[in-house]
Amino acid sequence: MWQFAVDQIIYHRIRSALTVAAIGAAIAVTLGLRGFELGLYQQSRDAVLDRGGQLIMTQSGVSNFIAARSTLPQQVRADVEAIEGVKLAHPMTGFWVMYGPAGYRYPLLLMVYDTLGGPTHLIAGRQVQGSRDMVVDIGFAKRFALQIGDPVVISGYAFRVVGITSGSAALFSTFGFINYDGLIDLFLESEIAPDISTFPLLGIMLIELAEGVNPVSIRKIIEARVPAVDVYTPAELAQQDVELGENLFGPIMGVLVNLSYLIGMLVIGLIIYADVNARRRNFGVMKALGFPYRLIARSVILQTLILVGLALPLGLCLGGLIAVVIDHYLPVYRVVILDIGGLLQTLLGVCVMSLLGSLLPLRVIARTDPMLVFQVE
Amino acid sequence: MYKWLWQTLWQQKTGVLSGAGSVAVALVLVVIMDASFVGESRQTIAYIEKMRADVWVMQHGVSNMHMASSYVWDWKLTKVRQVAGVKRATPILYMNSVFAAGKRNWFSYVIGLPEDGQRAGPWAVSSGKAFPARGEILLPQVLEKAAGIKLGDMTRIGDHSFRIVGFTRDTFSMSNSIAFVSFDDLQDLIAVSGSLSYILVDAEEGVDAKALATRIESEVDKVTAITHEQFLANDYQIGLLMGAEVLSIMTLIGIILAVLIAVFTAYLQVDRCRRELAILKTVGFPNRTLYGMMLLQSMIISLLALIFTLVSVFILTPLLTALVPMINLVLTEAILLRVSYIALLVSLLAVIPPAWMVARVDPLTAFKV
Amino acid sequence: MVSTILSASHLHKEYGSGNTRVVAVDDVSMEIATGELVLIMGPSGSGKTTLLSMLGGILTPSSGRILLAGLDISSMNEAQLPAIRAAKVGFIFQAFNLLDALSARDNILLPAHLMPGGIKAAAPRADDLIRRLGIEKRQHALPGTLSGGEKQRVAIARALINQPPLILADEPTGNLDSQSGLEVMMVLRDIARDEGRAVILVTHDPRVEAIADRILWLEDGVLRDRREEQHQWLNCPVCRMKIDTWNAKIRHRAGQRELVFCTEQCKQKFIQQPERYMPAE
Repeated sequence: MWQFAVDQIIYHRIRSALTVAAIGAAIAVTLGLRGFELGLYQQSRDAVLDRGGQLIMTQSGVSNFIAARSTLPQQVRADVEAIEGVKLAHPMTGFWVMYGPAGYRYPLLLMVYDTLGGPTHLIAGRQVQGSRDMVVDIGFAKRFALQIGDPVVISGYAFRVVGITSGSAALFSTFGFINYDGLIDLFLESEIAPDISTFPLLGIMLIELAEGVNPVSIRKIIEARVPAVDVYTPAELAQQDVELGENLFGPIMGVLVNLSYLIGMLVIGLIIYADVNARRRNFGVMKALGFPYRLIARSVILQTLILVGLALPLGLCLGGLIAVVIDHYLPVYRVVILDIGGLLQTLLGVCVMSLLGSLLPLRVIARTDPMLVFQVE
Repeated sequence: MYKWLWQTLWQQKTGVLSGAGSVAVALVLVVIMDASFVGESRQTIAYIEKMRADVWVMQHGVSNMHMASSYVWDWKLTKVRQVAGVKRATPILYMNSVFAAGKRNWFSYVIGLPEDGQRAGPWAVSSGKAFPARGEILLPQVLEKAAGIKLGDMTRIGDHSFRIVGFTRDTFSMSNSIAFVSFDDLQDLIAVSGSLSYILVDAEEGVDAKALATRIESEVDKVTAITHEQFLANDYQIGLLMGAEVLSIMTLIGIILAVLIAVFTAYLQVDRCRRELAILKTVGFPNRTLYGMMLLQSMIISLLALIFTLVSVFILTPLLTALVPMINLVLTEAILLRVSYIALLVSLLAVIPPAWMVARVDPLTAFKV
Repeated sequence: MVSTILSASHLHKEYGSGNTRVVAVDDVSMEIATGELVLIMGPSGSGKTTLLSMLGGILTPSSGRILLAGLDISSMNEAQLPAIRAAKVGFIFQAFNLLDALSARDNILLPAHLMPGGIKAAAPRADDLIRRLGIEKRQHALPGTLSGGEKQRVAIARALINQPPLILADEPTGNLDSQSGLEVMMVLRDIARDEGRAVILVTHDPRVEAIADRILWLEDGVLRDRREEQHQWLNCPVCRMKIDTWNAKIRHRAGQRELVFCTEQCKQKFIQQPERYMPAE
């Protein structure tokens, strides 16, 4: 039966190639959507993990990094650094600004840092040094055709692009990095806020610990000594942001991914159905020769599995191509194809799709009348 | 001639219908993505749209609400109220934040309403109070199920706790669910005083909104005043820009998938009637006539696919919305028109391989057994 | 030793009901012995293929009994019949029905998958059949590249691969040229005489009559033994085409003489101008 299935595939090579291409495309759609969803969560996670520090301090009750507003009192830096085991506390803050001409405005999350928390994946230029320096994400640079040295004017204050980074985007928007000098000058020289009190000058603290200090035990000490703050490990805070992303995008992405599974199953089913239909005479001949239904059905399922097996690497390549194209043209989004969990899930989904899909046409085989062998074509 | 085509398609109706069905499922994916994108974009501007203030006043330099922050000195409210043509001016305080409900966090617009701020409050309440007092919060009804919360439960924004006193309708979306709290509570939360975020201005009857906005900007220092339509357009544009590219890519993938399936179906059709095509060639039908038939066949399959798609999405959209209330699906004429264009494009692209096959059919096949 | 391999008694098959009821085979009984080549002839739509299908276990009769190699296949269900078809019956079709994707050799070996030992055990037999049927050079070719005669030889080899006691052939020469048809017929004759298999052949080809042990005539679902009937070959008075008076249906009495015609058109032509076409006494 194996040889028979292989011979069928080879003989109908154009049909098989089209089938593999269509199933591969269906798999790529599933992988692409799943990868897009994973990318959203991974971006949220990386946005926290890339900042550095062994612990992150937020305003009490704030358990997210990007989407939540956290404001810490100025004196906490001294309070934290006074605790034994804490090497340094690095201030950070962030706020959204809208950038671009009217009709093409796009949110930019300005990340303000001092000694830690800046851009980690520079692909061009240098780090922020002066008050007018800004490092922007490649997605932002591409969207507004910015290059090193170009101005980025926010509320009348002109920053200059000194570096371009990759992977600094989350929640459909990109990050721009400036330092505290830049923030102060922006406030003083522009009309970005009427009052310094409305500016979240200190949002979070990235805490660097002395060598050998256990982050889990010292966080309790920090929370006890410094009032109105919460302390998280970067992994915990990142996980909170991932969960927030899952809450936000999970439902629609779930619908789309499940719909793509359904589509994949139907595509496989209908294609195999059409294929089986086209070969009804062969099945009639096999029935007349004495092949029982289960053997013929097994050969169709085997053939489907072979085709799906061939389509899988193609789907993976197409999915990879989608990821590369998106990464190149729209780096603000990330499509994660090579994720073990996601791949296994997709693989499982595809296996279920193909099995269910190959069940659809079995009815045709069951109903094929061996009498048709007496008909002359 | 065309009767032959029609009869052939009819004889092979199962294959044709299954092919059209497969194309349809690819198109359904495109439509659902489109509908969710439009639904989400529309929900982004739900608050602005429902408030319908003639003019929106905000911090100078700010021109939208979504993901923005705006702070205006509260004394400017009095100034705005004094501008000729202003019938009513309602201030709100606003921030993007995350609130905890159930065991999860939710991204949200938090709108702080002053005591007399009913004008800027929820437009549809499904249960409980319609206006929050201090320490109280109104949340989207969708979360009642999704987060497993009920009236009287506590929720948290930052280090402030609120009692849930009301659930509102049409206020949930992925990117900006709307939570209503009192102005004072939000002021405490943000740790600002003497500021507000936006002023919703209702004009006297007969006053032109655009002229009023210009007047406000000239009479009140360092504010931006925008008409309702402009403000709406600004936010909608951001929503569109943030997702349009993803949608374009997904649509392109959907089109490729649909074309592949359509090509496959057309290929099978031609493969099945290769002998008949040879006979037609033998009796003298030129290739161009056969190409025309392939085009017609492709268009019939695409038309069927389009019909299946439309029927499916009209069934699926309310069904999905009922099953997963957290997603907003909106079918618009533009979406339907777009999928029709896509179906046409699919039919045109899918005709190329069968036409190539037709050109290669050897008339001698007609003489073979 | 000659023995009965197939016995059919009071076979009846009808399709539809009420106004659409069609009796395809009516009270047919027959016995076929090993080594016998039996021809079933008859006009189109007379029920030949239906009868053949019932004898081969493809179709279940409405009533009646079929014993194949001692097994009552008329009472078997569709789950039991495939095994019978695989082991006891070899089919040869007018349309050859080879699987396009398989080479000639793989087509021949296809039914062997269903037998104990599979294709491995059947391989020497396949080689022998390929040699005997003279298709050694074409055994690796795909059916699409074979001539009609070659295709039918492959089909015959396929029918024989499991060494079934009964071969059923439906118009095996219908799609072949004269020479190929003759060769195929001789092969079938050898199968019956030399290998002792029973061969039932449904055909319109009058040349086959010469090699048949028996000729059965099926008309309107009823079977008769044709060899027992009187045969007289006459020419149609109008077009001069040869007609067997035994089964001629279009007749016309001209005076004392009864004339037979090939078609209704010839008969009408004769009626219009009898003096022109009246054959000499």
